[in-house]
Amino acid sequence: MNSRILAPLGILAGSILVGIGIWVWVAFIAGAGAPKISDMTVDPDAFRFTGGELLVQAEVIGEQRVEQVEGVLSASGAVVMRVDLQRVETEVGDSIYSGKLLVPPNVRSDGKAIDYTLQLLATNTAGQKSQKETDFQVPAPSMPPAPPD
Amino acid sequence: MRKMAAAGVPKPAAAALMAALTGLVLVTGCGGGLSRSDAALFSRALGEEVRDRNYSRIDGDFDPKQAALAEQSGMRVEDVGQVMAGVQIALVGNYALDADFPVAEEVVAAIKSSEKLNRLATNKLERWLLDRKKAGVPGRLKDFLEQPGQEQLEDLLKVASDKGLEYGFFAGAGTFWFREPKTGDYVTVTLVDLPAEPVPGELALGEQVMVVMEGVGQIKEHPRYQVAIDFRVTIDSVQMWRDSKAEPPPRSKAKCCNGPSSGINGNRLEVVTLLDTNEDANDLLFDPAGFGDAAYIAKDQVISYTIRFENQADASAAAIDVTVIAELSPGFDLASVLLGRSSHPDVVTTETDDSTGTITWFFKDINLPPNEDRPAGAGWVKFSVQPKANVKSGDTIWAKAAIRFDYNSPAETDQVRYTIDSESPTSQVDGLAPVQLSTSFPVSWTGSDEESGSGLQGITLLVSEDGAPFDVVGAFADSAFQFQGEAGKSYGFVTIGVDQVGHTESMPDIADVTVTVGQHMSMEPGWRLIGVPVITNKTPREELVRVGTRWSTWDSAAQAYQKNAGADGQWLANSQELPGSGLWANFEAGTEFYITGDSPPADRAFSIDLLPGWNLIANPFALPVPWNLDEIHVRSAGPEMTLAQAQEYGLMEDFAWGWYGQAYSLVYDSKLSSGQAAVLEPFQGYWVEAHEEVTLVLPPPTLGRD
Repeated sequence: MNSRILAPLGILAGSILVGIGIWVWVAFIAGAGAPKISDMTVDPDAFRFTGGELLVQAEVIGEQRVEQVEGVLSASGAVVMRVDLQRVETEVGDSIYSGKLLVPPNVRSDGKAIDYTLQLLATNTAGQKSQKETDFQVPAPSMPPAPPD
Repeated sequence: MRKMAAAGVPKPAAAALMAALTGLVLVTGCGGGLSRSDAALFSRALGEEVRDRNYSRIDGDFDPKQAALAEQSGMRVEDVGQVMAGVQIALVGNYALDADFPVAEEVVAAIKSSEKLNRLATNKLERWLLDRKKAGVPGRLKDFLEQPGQEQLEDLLKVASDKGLEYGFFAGAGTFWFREPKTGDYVTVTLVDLPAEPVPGELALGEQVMVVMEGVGQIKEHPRYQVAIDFRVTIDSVQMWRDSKAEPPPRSKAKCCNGPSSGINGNRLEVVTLLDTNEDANDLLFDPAGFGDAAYIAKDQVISYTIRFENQADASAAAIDVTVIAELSPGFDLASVLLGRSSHPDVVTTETDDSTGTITWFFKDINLPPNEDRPAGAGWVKFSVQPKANVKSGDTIWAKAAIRFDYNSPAETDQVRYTIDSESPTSQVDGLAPVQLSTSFPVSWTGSDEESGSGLQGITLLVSEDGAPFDVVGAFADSAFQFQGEAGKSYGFVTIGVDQVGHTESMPDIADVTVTVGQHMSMEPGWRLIGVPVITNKTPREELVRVGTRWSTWDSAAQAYQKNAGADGQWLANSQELPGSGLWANFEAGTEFYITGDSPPADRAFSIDLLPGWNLIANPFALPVPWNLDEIHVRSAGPEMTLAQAQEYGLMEDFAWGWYGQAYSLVYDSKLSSGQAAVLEPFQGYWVEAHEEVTLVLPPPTLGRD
């Protein structure tokens, strides 16, 4: 083959290979370094209509330093409350994060419960994120008999 | 002093003459004094009760303040201007009541039997004597009796003579005296107008006592004398009366603090101090007495003083000149001094010195003899004065007097002290719930005088009904009154305080407290969940039946409604007790009515029994009850616990539901959750849910509590 032809092709192919390599490397690094959320617990696991304080706790680890663990309480798609979970020292290490959220009371007079979603979002210093969520309900108080006919 | 021969004239005739002549009889004894029991004894002789205090003066000036004081002491008070035809009998000593010397009874009997006592007592004799004295002519009684028109007096003296009585005349006092020589008892007959002012206080031995009797019949007023026409002799009152004519009681013989003076002229001045006790018979008299130990008076009070002096009976010479000096403390307004009468107006000149605060009377050539022939050797001056306008509460003002005979050292009296009360008291009606369910409810008040004042005497409670002008409910010394109102009316209350010197609080512009009797119920159409916090009055049930079209209660056992389609009063009357029970009522549009009755006491808890399931309760009080999980209690088979604990133990739910026209609304403790009702409102019904058979204990409501 004409070397005048092969040379540019070689450069192009080399560049493509390098680009692919970089992309693969970045993708590898990113996929492998996002924080991992595990052992997520909430207390209490059920509420009265009065709502109340909710304690959420989870283990968050990662190859990169965990920069933030956030709890987001939402109902019907609307955010009710956000809170930053704090890292707590435990016997098994310092990867446990804990926070408290205030769950509003349900004073609806139609007897219907309110569905809540609690989402944990972990972010490391590289900006890598991971999330985990759980659902729960706050029931309405029991309703009295309807007025007389 | 002469002694006439006895001639056997009956005693009643003499007494009748006395009474006929005077209409004002002063019966005196020469020993001892008239005690309260003596007064009562005298009273029994007349068949009437004697009270130990007099009311006001008897000269026709009706004094409402003194009358009020007399009423407080249980006396009957009349406007004495209407009963002016009074006879007065002053008693000194027990002898007047002694069976051995029944003159007093005879006098009284004569008065009772007299059909015409219209002969006016005058000072004719006294004037006659004075005229004679000025003319330098001896004034002999015999000569006076020879004057035209003195036949009655002559007859009187003749009667006395016939009875073997000694008699004489007290010049200057217009008083004849008659003495029983064997016993020493004597009677005096006063021909003149009223003596000095009455002196308030208790009766005591040695005091003269004036018995005021009521006369009925035609009244003829006279500017100076009382006119007695036809008497129904009943004793109205007894009062102390100071009279220089009387023998001074033993303790009043004490000399003044400075002691008697024995001057070069040989006369003796006796100045007796009575300022503290108000009981002795001489010398610086004052009126009013003032309230309490501090002798409180109002800052605008006019104070009347009488300074009396006497050349003692054992003096060896007459006092040619007498000087009387009244010294007033700086708190007095000398511009307000009004000089009154004196015993010797023809020889006296006066001088007021603002710089020294003194008033001086000079009796030039008074020639006051030794007071053997009482009261010829005595004299007096009168004046009145007011405190300055700028005196303040707690300020003390005083007065004293000094009396000098000729060149003798002056004798001084003690100070007469008063304490000023310059301010009016304050008072106000205590808070009341704006709605009074009961038509009878207590109204209380608090009040006080200024810090250095005389103190609160009482208050007058006034009420404005439905905004009308205030009307007096009454005057009270207590601090509460049970008021009776009518349902649907509003009442505004104010108080006006009065202190012990008569200062009256100004009338407030607006009521201190306004209440409405009965709960106004204005019902929208449709079902209402109500409560009626009334126990005893059946009117609410009847009213509810009348105005409601449909009713429904809740059977907790069956967990079902009990419905009523119409105005079945018996059905409602037989329903549950209303306080604490909720009712569904369906009213017609625009229904308005008032609920009255006796609500459960708001200072005690109220218990409502609950059955498992839903229960229809109501606020049993006329005040809001906070839905507080710690203060509302629950009783079950176990120990009483809070509602919060009862919920945790699963005995009952810790919330309630109210109905507000269109939908239910939650009631819950405001500390745990905001945004919903947190009290049980009065006249509202509520649902609560129990899981066991328990008793809900609602705490007493607290006025003004959130």
